[in-house]
Order: sequence, then structure tokens, then C-alpha cells
Amino acid sequence: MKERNEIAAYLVQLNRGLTVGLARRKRILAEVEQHLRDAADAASATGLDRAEAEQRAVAAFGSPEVVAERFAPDAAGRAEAALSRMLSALDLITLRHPWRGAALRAALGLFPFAVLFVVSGVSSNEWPGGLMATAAVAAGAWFVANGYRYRAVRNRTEAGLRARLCALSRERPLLHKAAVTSVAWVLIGSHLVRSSRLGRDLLLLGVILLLVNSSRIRTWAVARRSSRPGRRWGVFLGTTRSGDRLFRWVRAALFIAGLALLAWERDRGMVTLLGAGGGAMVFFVGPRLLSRRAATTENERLGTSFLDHPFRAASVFGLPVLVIPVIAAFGAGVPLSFAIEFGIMTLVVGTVVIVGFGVLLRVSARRQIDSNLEARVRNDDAVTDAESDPSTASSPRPAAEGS
Amino acid sequence: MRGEVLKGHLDLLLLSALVPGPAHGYSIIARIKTRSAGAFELAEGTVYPALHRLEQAGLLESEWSDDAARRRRIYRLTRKGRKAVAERKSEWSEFVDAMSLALGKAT
Repeated sequence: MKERNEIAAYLVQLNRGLTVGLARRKRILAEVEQHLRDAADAASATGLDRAEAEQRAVAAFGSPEVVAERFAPDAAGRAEAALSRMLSALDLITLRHPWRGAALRAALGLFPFAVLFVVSGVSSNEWPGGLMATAAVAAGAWFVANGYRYRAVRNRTEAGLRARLCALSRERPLLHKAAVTSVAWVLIGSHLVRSSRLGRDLLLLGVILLLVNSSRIRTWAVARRSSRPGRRWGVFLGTTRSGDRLFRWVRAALFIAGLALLAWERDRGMVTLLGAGGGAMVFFVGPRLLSRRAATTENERLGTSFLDHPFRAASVFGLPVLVIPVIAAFGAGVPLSFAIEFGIMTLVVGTVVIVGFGVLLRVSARRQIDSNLEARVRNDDAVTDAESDPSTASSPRPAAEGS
Repeated sequence: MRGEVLKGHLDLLLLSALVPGPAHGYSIIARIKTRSAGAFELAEGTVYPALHRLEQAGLLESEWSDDAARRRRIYRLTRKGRKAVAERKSEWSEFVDAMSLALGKAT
């Protein structure tokens, strides 16, 4: 007879019904889980088997829909749920129709540029055609590269778009990398086309590429170290724990230095360069810094490895975007009025970036909680199926916690 | 005892259960059951929303505790909560006295 982990299944139902914000959601799920485990332990102590004990605990707690309703919804929770539904719909479209998904994402990416184009044109009567052309080419590259990438994930078997993309990045890294960096390549290319000092800029580009791909060097070093002890090189390349931290900070510092150098030329596409550089910082440096600082034991207990403080985390993401242009503007020796104007613009953009990332991180973390809870139920179901099947009864039981 | 009878008094029961000392949700329910000699068996799914509400009102505070083998959220009364317990107990006594009189049980 098939048995289910009643507590995990109950938590999935409760999670679906909750309309509260992320932090409160995690707390509620953790508290209810501990309560149910206590109640099941108490019932087990009376002689019931575990499955019956869990069933009794869950029944005594009440219907998950009703319990979820008792936790009053808040505005943040409702907004988060709406955004999560929207992103889920986008994922669903992408899984079924890769090119439509890629087109939607490209359109979403182009939208802020279109707004900037209109606002700039209306306010100053100067329509930034160059900006729009660059953005359109970048969106086109993004569409083509991601169309191929999404087409490649369509027939995979992993659950959900994220899992399929992760698997693709392992199995076809070139395609994955090309799609992820397509926009950056367009922006860098746009700069190089207009550059009057091509040689020097190509050198800088080479340095940046080396830094971006330094993880490959590190991976190579790890592989080499296993057969040839070379601790000094391991430390230097960040393959030990202490060296790893140092490596990340050095790389972040080099990024900043490289970007500041590039931004020095304010007459030649500085904003484009800063956009590309800021994006690179966000995608390559931010997550590495965040993964150490923001993951908490609470998240780990819930089986998530994501962030407990999304807005704090987003500020770490957004900080380089905020700070680098200001440093660069001052470094370029621009007039004070321009620096102030530029600083205000940067502040506005930085705030938007921070809030935007904060919202996205919340949604990502929410989705991770959902998928982890559901994975626990699936794992438990698989285990109980295996246990009831004598031919597979010797299979080891996977850890339910943190799966 | 019927759930609807307890419904209006849930907050006072929860606050009173924390007067002896901090406790987590499961033990609060157990405390109430023990102190009422088994008469008050709270609907478990109502307790946590109520605890959260009382915390938002500033009557309780809570924190995670890793002391035991299992991680639990421990609730304790705030100063405002202790004052609220005293006031509500007093109101309750007045209510009971009045009800007793009205029902003809007094003296």
C-alpha cells in the first residue's frame, strides 16, 4: 500500500493557500511543520505507526485552505503572488513555444529602453536614436540566442524551466553561455565599432573576458590539484576555502578597476559601457558575494538555499550599479552640474534596479520554496513506492530535509 | 468544550498560558489543555494565526530557538502583553461575577 509523507503534502497545500509575504510565509511553514512533527511524535508514542500518526496530526491541525485563510493576507504577499503567477505563465509559454517565450522576454527587455527613448525625446526634443538602435540590436540578439536555447530545453525531462536551463548549462555550456551573454556582446561590439582606440579597448576587453571566465581556470586548477598537489597555486586561483574568498574579492576589485578605466572616456559611449559593465557586475560578481552573506540556516532547514533578506541582498546587487558611474563621472573630471545631474540619474536608476531585483529575488525565493516542498513530497512518494516494491526495497532513502 | 465557546477567549487563553514562561506553539496548546484539566482543547490551526496577530499587536515577541533537537519559535509576553493579561483577567472576573449573578448562582 502506498504511503505518503502527510506533513510534507500538507505543507505544500498550505503554501499554495497562503497569501502572505515571503518572510512570513517561511516562518509560518517552519512553525507549522515543527508543530505537526511534534504532534506526530506524540501520536507515535501512543503506538500508532508513523503514517497514521502524521495523518492524525494533520487532521487535528485543520484544512490547509482554512488555516491559510486565517493568516491575514498583506499587500506585499498579494503582489508577490501575482508576479509569481505572471512569471509562471511566462515559463509555461516558453516551455511550450520557445520562440514566443524568447520574443516576450526580448520585448520585456526592450520596454525600459522604449520608455527612456520617449521620455528623453519629449523632455529635450532630442530623440536618442543611437540608444534605441543599440537596444533593438541587443534585443534581437537576445531573441535569437534565447530562441535556440529554449528550443533546446523544450524536450528535456527536468521539471520546470529553471531546472532544464541548469541542466543545459552543464551539458551544452557554449549554447548556454552564448545566450546569456548575447546582450553584453552586442553592447561591447557597439562600443568597439565607435572606438577610436581599438587596440587599447580590445586589450581591456581581453582582460574582462579573462576575468569573466576565470571560473574555468579555477575549475581546471581543481582538476589538476587532485592529481598533482600544488597548494600554492590552489590558493592563488581560489581553490581553497580562504583563497576562494580572496579570489572573489580580487576579481570584483579588478572588475571595478577595469570598468572605471573604460568609463574614463565620457565622450565615447560611456553610458553604454557603464550599462554593460554594471550588468556584468550584477550577473558575475553579485551572486558570488550574496551566496555567502545572505543564505541562512532558516532557508536551509526549509530546503532552500536562497535569500532571507531579498531587499538587503538586492542592495548588494545594485550597489555597484549605483557607485561605479558616480566614481567614473567624478574620475572623468566632468563639470559639477553634470556630475550632480548624472548622480541624480544614477540614484534613480540604482533605486529602480534595487527595487526590481528585490522583487525578483522575492519571487525566485518563493518559487524555490514551492519547488522544494513539492520535491520533498515527490521524493517521499518515490521512497514509499520503492519500499512497497520488494525488487527495489534495498534502495537507500534520500534525505527529505533540504532536498 | 465547543470551539465557538472558546473562540472569543482565545487571546486571553494564549496570553495566560505564557505567564509562567516562554513556550512554543505546541507546548502552549498542551499547557492550556493541562491547566484546564483537558476541558480546553484548542483547534490547533487557529493558534498560530492568533499568536502571529498578538505578536503584531505587540503583546508577544518571539524568536527561533535551536536549543532543543528541533528548531522552534519561542513566544514570550512583552511588558505590554503582561499588562494586557492583567487587564483582561480583571475584565473576565467582572464578567464571570456578573454572569453568575444573572444566572442566579451567586450566594
